[in-house]
Amino acid sequence: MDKKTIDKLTFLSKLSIPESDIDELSKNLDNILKLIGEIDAAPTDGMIPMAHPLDFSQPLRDDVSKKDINRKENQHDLSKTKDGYYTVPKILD
Amino acid sequence: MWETVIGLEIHVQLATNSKLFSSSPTNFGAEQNTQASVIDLAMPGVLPVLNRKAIDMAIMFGLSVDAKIADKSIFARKNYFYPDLPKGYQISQYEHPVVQDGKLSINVDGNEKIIGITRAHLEEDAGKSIHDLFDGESAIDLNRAGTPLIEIVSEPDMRSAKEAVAYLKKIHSIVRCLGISDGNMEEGSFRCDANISIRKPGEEFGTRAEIKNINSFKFVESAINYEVDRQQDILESGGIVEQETRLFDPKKNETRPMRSKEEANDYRYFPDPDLLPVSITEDEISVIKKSLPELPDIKKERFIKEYSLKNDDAEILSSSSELSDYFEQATKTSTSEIQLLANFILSEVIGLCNKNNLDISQATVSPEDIAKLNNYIGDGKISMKQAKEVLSEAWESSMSVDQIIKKNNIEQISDPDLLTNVVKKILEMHPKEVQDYKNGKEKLMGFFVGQIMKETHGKANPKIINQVLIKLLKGV
Amino acid sequence: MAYKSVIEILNAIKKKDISSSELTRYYLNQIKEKDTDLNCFITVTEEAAISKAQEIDNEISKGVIKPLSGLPIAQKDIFCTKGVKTSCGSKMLDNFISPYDATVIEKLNNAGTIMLGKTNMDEFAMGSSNETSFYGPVKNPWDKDYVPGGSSGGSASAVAARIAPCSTGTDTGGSIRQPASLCGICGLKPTYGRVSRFGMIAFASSLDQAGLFTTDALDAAVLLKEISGHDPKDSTSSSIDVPDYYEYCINNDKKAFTIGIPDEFINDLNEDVKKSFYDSIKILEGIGCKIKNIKLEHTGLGVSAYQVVAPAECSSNLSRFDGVRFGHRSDKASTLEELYRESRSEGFGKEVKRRILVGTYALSAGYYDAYYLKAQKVRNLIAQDFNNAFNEVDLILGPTTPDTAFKIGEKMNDPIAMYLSDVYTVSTNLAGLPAMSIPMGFKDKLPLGLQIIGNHFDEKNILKLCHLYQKETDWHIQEPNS
Repeated sequence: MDKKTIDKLTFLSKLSIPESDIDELSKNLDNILKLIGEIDAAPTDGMIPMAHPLDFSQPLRDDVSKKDINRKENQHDLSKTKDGYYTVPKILD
Repeated sequence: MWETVIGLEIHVQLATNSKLFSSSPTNFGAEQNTQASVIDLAMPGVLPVLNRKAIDMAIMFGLSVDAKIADKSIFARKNYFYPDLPKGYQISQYEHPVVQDGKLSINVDGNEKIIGITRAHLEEDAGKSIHDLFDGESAIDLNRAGTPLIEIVSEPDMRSAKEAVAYLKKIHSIVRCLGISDGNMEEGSFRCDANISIRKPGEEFGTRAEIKNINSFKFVESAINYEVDRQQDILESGGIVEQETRLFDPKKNETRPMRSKEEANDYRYFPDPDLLPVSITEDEISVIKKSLPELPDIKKERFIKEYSLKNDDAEILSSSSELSDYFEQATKTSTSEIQLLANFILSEVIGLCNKNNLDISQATVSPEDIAKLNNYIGDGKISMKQAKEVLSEAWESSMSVDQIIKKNNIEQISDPDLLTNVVKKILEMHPKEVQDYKNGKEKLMGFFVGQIMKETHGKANPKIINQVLIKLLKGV
Repeated sequence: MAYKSVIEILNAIKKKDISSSELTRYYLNQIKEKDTDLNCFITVTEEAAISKAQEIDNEISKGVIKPLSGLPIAQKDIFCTKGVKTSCGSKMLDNFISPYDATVIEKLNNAGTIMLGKTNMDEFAMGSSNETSFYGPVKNPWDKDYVPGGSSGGSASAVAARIAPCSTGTDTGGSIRQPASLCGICGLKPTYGRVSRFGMIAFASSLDQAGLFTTDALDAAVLLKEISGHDPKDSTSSSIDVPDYYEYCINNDKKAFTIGIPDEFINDLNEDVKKSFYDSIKILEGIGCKIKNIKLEHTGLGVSAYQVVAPAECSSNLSRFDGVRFGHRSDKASTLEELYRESRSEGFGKEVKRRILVGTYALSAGYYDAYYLKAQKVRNLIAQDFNNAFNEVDLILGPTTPDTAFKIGEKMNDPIAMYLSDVYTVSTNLAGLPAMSIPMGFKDKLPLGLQIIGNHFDEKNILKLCHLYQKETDWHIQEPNS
């Protein structure tokens, strides 16, 4: 796997890999790809992809709103909030 | 020389009580993050459960645009990072949306045209980011995160800003008529993105730009016109239009490229493993079909047939259920030709609504009173001018039309004998003008009418005055 | 301690032979004495446990008995516990106090259990040795130089060391069965959808399932009934009735099971494992079971397919860990992009990052068909193999792992070798089937495990067979002597 691909993947997944680790990572990823590449030869013509081991349909929920939200409990970690908002470094649009 | 090609993507917020995948309330304007549950906040371990009403509403929409409803619909994850998207993915639909292959007809300058609707699918709304609240930071409110949306994607069938606006207004009226959304563009429950490109007629589609952040019908026209000019300039000077996302700036009336995100984003759609395929049966669809309200197009045809209304008037009156309800309620006690009642409502009532920035549902005069006023005009009891004054007063006060007419002693003078005396008096007061009229200055009729009106404080029935004047002028 | 198994404990508490407080204190002391060496626990909830034990004693004195009154239990730190740190073995959640309880936790709490604490695990359930945890490796109580298995290493080791009578775990590719095998205890993975996943931090949503560690099969039967059942908060949970598993094990007299042995499971076995395995078969034949050779032709593709599906789903599931609303947030970030990248890179370990990258690759444009879609088709192939097999047999038998535990550090630099040790377990996750691992012997004083795989929702027959086996053997009663 070349650096360009690794860069694209780290961009999409928001990870940053230190330069010193790139070689090892690249090797690991190559080996893993080799392992998973074994499914290539599998005789899957005509097979449907199995998204679920279960064969039933999505249950539906009645449209009733619940008023049991506790913002204080949810925002237990106050270091990330201000006046009830979550804050991040300013985003330029 | 250039043909404009427009496709619209409309995001409509559904008027459900709870969110698409959680039971949180969906009320507008709540204090920040008080309507965001552990599920909406994407806490570790939470799971989505689908709101039945949202599916029903999507089906209602699909049926009203003659579309195919999927018998098995699948939710997919659209993966990207943004602080208003807590899970780091949006649950949306990719393959197997609820609605596909619909169409609707629009009317522009008297011409009907069919616009195709590629698909409509359900997805959850993101939260809100506010950039000017705190210094150096952006504030995130996730109350809106998880609210159900349907995204309606049109075919690139529109060829002008006018067609785009007509399509937009039609969709708007349908979703409001169905009751699936309040369609409030200012509050963000009806949002439009436009895909715009230009080409020489007959050639392939040009590169398109996506314009976001259009939140009024007026801005749609401005954005499209600006963008078409911009692309024209580029192509005519030998350049290439870039495929990009641009923001419409209503203050400067222009589009500019979006600085953040979206570049090189691969959304990696895959079926959401926390949700199962939604099964929609024929029976379920027909139950919903039977309960659909009368849609604007059908209502319009009925208005034309039942009330002999002009096409354009029928179009407007059928465009919103509040307006059509108001109008039809008024017809129940109308004794005049319905077209006249329609004219009265369209010019006077709508006029007052617009002037006061109100919706027809907030009209302060009842349809019964409007019908009554219009009836009085027809009966000759009051003049149009008087009626407008009464209406004006009724609008501001809480009095009924009858009460105002009585209080102000407004009744029009229609008694021919009474009026004949007044006319005679005026004619006697202006012998020179009478002579001039007889000598051919027909315009003086207006002068006489004016004088008579002055004399009667505007109460004289113009029709009768004219009849008497003509009789007397010819006779005398 | 006279009362070791779950059933012994429940009876003793009910009969007031021992109080819940006394029993709870006993286990808390055991943890104090032994856990520094073993590192099974990330959090010990001593105060809350003592307080709940007193509550239970009060209830019992008033005649209120719940199905699991007074039972101490260790909970894998992957289950969200309200007001209690829930770390998932990761630095990313080192500061996370969950605002709600997972359904499994709620059910066990309501049934009267007493939570001793949250157990150590491979980070975000990714691993087969409990060496990727932010909180350090867990030791195998049979030999502390060896791994207990993973990802539910802490839960397995705690029960094996007898510092908890039972514990919960999760199994995505073998994370209950493999540690059960390496630690010489019973580990049950129910059918996908049998137990609610709400509140169970997601690794691979279509494979994850909550399960149990006990010292014998009957205990598992008692506990399984309490955690199973439809949960309206989990769209993927099943509405199929929950039988009384214990009652079935004790009272139903079925014993002549037809058991299938897949050729593919016994081809490359080493001699010791083979011997133990064939001895076990003889025991089952002795009680009346019929043995049949079967084929699970595509089992060999299991690890590969699993290493596509699991990373793909986890790459998406772990996107919510972005440092914005909870969890680790880097203090080195001055832009949003930095906030994401630094928080996630600081918070996640190497194995997690590897899997996120592989998963992102497998789902990306141009690769989706060849990897993710293809792997989902292979799942169907594998599921079909099992389907066909269950037309001929009631249950399927095999070794749980190719060998006994390996030394700590031995496989850490070889992810592939680590992945391959899942070879006998992953196919059951891919097909969504239930399976249990029970002790079947030793090799060089380290435990070996026997795996019984059943058809969808047929846990009762798996438990029954295991119970019958355990009536004839005493592997499951052996304890590590340290």
